[in-house]
Amino acid sequence: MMKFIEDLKKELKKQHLSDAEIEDIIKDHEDMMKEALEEGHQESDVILRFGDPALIAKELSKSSNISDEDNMANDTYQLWKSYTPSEESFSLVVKLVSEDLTIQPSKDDHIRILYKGRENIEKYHISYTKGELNIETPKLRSFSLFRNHTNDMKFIIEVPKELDFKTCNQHGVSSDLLLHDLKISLLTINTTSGDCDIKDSILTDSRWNTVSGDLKASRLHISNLVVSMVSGDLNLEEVHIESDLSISTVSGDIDIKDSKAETVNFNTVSGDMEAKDFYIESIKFKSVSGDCNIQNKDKTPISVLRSSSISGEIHIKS
Amino acid sequence: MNAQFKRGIIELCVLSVLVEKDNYGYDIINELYNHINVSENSIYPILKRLTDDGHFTTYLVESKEGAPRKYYQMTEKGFIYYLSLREEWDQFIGGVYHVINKGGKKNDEIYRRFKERIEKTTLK
Repeated sequence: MMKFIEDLKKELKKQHLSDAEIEDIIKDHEDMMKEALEEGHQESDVILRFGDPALIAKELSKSSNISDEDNMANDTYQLWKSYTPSEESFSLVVKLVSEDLTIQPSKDDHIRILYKGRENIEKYHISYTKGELNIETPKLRSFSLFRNHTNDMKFIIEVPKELDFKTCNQHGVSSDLLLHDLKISLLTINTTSGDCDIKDSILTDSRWNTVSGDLKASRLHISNLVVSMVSGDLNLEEVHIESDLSISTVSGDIDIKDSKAETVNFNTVSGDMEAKDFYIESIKFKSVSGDCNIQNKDKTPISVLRSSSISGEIHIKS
Repeated sequence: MNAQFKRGIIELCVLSVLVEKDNYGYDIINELYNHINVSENSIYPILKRLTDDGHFTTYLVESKEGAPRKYYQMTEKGFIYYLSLREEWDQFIGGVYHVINKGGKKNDEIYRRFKERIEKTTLK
């Protein structure tokens, strides 16, 4: 057997790797070595490409057990800041990257920020001025290119119920959001892959944009809702929309149960809408191949204002 | 260059190779080897870790000569990870560029200013 493979095997055995894992790694290297030799490279030259066996083994053992200790540390939330509201109205602007966020009512009359995670909290830009709370991921926070991926932070923001919660503006990349038991005039969500769960709340206007993140909404009362998604799914349950619901998606599916709206504007490429007990007055439907199925127990007529589709179908059964 | 720093960059490079097309181990390593000095870091462990973390999946393809090749394919999770690293990298390198190119890119001019300043201080 070739010296490189032999050496690698020896080095791998020094690390705490399972036999199956070692076998797998050796197999991969034998295959790669074969390719290299077939191309006419010398064994000595190939090592330059693959790296030193001792180093490979060390790196592999590091990657196979990124310690659980790291993940276990800081498992409880700690209070970072507490503010006494300075105004009657309250606005929240959140700009996060990967940090998960919960927004919930406060038990008393204080605004609170709690966190857990290994990132340095002092580096976050957090301020409360003129009734507006800002929280932002530091631009030059420790680079995830150069760190373990276990440092991720989680935040909780608590807002007193007495405050007039005017706007909530959340930006995230992969941050998950949970929002519950609040009354907010304008809730805007912009996220790439973060999932959102909004429940038991009253919202006046709402705009939710995601790329691949899923949206879940339950037990909500909303005046107007505009949702725009690419591949994420939308799930509405017991959502009462006073006037307009507008949904546009590329391939995300929509699932609606026990909900109400006045007019629905549904724009899809291949995403389907599946609705049960979804009471609406009218619908505009535009699709390429996505279907729209509405099945209601009560026979309230739904008028189809416009429907255009290439191969998708609209079925309304009551 | 510090190994940890370089490892992050190689991770981004591996992701960038696989964002364009599915590829097999030897070809991925070769592609990087042809452009950057990877001798202090081995690429395979990075490839394996990204796969174990669900950023890539693998499948086998019969090849003309002997053993089937193991191809790596990026998952949606991998793509999102690629985007986030890419963004961080652009931000970081943008900052570095800004700092190092403040005095322009022309070495002779930088040298002229440097020399002038040195001479001024030695005259005093």
